[in-house]
Amino acid sequence: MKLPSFKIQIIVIMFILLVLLGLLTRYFFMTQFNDYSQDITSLNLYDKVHNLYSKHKDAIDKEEVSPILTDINKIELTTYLFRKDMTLYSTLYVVISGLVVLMILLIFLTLITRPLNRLQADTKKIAAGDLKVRVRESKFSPINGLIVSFNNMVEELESNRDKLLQAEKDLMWREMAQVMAHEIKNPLTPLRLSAQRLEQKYYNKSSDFDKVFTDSLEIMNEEIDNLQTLVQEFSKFARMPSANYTEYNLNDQIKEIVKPYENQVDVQINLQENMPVFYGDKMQMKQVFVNLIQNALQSIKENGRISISTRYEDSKFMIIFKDNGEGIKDEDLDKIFRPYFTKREKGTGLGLAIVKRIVSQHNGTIKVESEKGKGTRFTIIIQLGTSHYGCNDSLPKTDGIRKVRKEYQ
Amino acid sequence: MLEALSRQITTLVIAASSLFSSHVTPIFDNCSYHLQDNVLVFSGRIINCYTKDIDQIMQSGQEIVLEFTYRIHEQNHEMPLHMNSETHSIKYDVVDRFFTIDKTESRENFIFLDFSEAKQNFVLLEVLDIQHIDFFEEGRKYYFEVTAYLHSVYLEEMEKNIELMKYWNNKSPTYRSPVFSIDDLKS
Repeated sequence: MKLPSFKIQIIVIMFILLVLLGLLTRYFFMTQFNDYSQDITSLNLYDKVHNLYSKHKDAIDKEEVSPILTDINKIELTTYLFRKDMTLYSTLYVVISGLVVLMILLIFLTLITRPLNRLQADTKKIAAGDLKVRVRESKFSPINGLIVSFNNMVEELESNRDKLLQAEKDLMWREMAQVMAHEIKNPLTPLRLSAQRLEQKYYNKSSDFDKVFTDSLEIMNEEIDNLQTLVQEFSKFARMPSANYTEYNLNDQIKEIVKPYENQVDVQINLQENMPVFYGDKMQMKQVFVNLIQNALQSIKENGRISISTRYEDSKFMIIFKDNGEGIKDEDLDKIFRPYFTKREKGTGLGLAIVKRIVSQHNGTIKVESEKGKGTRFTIIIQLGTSHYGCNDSLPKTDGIRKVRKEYQ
Repeated sequence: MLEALSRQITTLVIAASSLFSSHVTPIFDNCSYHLQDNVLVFSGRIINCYTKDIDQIMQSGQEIVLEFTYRIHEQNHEMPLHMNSETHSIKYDVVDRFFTIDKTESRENFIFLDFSEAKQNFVLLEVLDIQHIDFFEEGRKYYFEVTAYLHSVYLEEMEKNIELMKYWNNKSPTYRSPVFSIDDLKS
């Protein structure tokens, strides 16, 4: 059974307490008053005086006794009317004061619960990563201090996050600069050696100059190609275009992507049927899947097998890539998503970094599990309808979410 | 404690219901009008007009005055052509224990030992002279209204005023006759 809201619970409890308090107050005063008024009526003054007059009719003049009896009746009448009025007004007092206190309570609770609801809603946004959110202040609310402190805390968090991001960015660029310098230095050595060798053979008029010339030219061209590939990959990574979100069928996309690889390796796909439409950048997601497949292909030696499966649970898309390749060492698992980290001779070290970056841009996560010699498993998790979060502002964000959810239901 | 609370709740409910029940809506009943010795006379009585409080006040020896006001209108005219009033007063003799009712329209006093009979008679209009037939003109249409009003009771020395009309929800019972002409009255 679902309990009523906090506000309703408080109101009901307070109402019961108020009624009890009102009744007790009323009981106290009315008991006192009734005691006094009962005393007056129980005296039977009218009957006593009238009996006296009846017994001594001859001795007492009617004109003398009449005002006395009238006054006694007046007293009893006013006591009766007053008691009745008191009963009525005390009831009204209990009801009206109860209603007034309830109204005040309602206003007070509204001043608490409304900002609390805002706080709760905004906390969810903040938990989703939007640190730009600020809870609207409510000047008259008793919890306004809490809101102000909360906003200050979020501001501080945002500032710290920006600083952290900047620091990470600086670190990444430093690492990249080091790697780039190293990568550029590698082809430079054979280039220089080839040039020096050519120069030497040329001035010495060496008989094998032609052969050396051909060999050196081949080495130089190869190293220039390597440098060109390096520059292209770096350029691709550095200038990743902003996402273009659309709704499409994720399973269809995976089926399409794996086709060219089916001749090279055993590809097993296990896709969940009736998945809701996916909302994301189709081109970028294609790059994610292609990079993961290529990464798997590079690690597979013989009888290679790649299995791809999709699942949809708790409003989350789950895409799993599994291979039976050579696997990744435990100490390298933390580094594989870093730019320019590679253990292969021909790798640029940017493939998985790009994957990570695209998945993050879709507000998703990527997890890697690997066992040396047995294979690797990548799990991508992306929340339904939030994949656009924090991206291109020109996108129909809320409409997109609503539409996707509607189709799912 | 619980007993006291339950008693309080019961009293509260009774008091709340008395907010509605301690008032009545009196109406004129058994009304008729006709010519009697060339005078238009009205007779009727008020019913549903007593409450326990009014009974208590009547039996306390205070004089209660009930005023009947009657107005003659020409059809479709708000302004009355003629207006007058008569009163009934009732007083309980606290020494000899009887009720005296004075009716100005008949210039008579009635004495009752029984309270119920006194109450019945107090609100009864046996013959109320509305107007002489000469007042009404040929070819014109008229109607008349009779309203009743309870005067407040003032308790001297205690300086307390009891508004009796509150027991009638501050609404006077009113009788409005059908439209008639002088020929209708004669027939």
